[in-house]
Amino acid sequence: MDVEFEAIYRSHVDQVYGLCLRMTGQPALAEDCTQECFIAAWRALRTFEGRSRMSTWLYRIAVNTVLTLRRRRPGDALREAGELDEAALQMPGGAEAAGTLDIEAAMGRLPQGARDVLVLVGVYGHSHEEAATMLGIAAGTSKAQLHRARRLMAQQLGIAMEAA
Amino acid sequence: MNPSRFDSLDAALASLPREVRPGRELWPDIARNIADGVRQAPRAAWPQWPMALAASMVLASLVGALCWSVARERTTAEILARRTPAAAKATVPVSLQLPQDADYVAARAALERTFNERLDLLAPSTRDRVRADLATIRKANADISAALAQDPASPLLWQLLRNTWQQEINLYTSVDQTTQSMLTRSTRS
Repeated sequence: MDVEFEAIYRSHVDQVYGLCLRMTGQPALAEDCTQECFIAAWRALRTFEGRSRMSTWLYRIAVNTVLTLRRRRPGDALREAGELDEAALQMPGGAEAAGTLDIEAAMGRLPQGARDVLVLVGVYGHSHEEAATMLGIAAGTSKAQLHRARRLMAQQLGIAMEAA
Repeated sequence: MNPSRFDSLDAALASLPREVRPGRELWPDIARNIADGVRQAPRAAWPQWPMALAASMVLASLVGALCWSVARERTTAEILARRTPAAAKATVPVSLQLPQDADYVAARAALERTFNERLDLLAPSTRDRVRADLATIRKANADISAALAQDPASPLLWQLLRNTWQQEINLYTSVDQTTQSMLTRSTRS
């Protein structure tokens, strides 16, 4: 086993898991996706050309893994609209502030397509083109989904956002 | 919709921590899965194993068949030896090395040349069997080479490939040594 690959895992696992958790809304499934992501990354490591950052490359694999898992396990607990467990969000640095958890919970209740785009663009800072490529949708669809997600989020968080 | 609300929402989303720690250690399962995959990779070579195994088994029986055929073919060998005296001096010592090695390639070529020259010393049935065995070895070599193209890091496939090189050399050497003794006897008589 490559020590170097374990180092890559240690450096990026929290980011990959965070992405998978927000896309799936389920800690157990996010763990499965994270594991499959790193296994897939190990197999594809020789194709990593260094043109993008390692984290970006892993994000792409993670998104693809989540999408594959959804297709493979359509009846599983991948929720169309759900709510993240607060206990699952063990964020480093004691970031479990009430406002953060409200946002995470609202994000977890979004429809899947809107949530995917909001996570990739809103949280992880990808462009619409990048998010569209990762999700296999058109960039225009990504923009429309983001608008939808923001509107739904604002409706859910209206009071909290104003209070924040 | 109030745009300022979106701005604050965007800011709140962007400020969310990207890192979330999993509830359990995931690495042991990943490491085990990767290790299993590495161990399972040579399974792709299974279709070639019977061929390689068949080649080695054929070779094991070939030596005995050649020894048995010597007595029967002495007369033929004596006749052919008188026709091709140079062939009797063409024994080539070979130490197996990687095929890319120039010495190996030259030695192998010389041994193969001798093999082809002396093949006619054998009885037709033995000759046919030797040729069939050589074809089996070369087919195994081609199959293993194709598998190696898919999985060039497989130590098992490299070992199998080296085995086929060795088997081919063994076959050449067996024919060489067998016919050499026939030629030596014919020279003495």
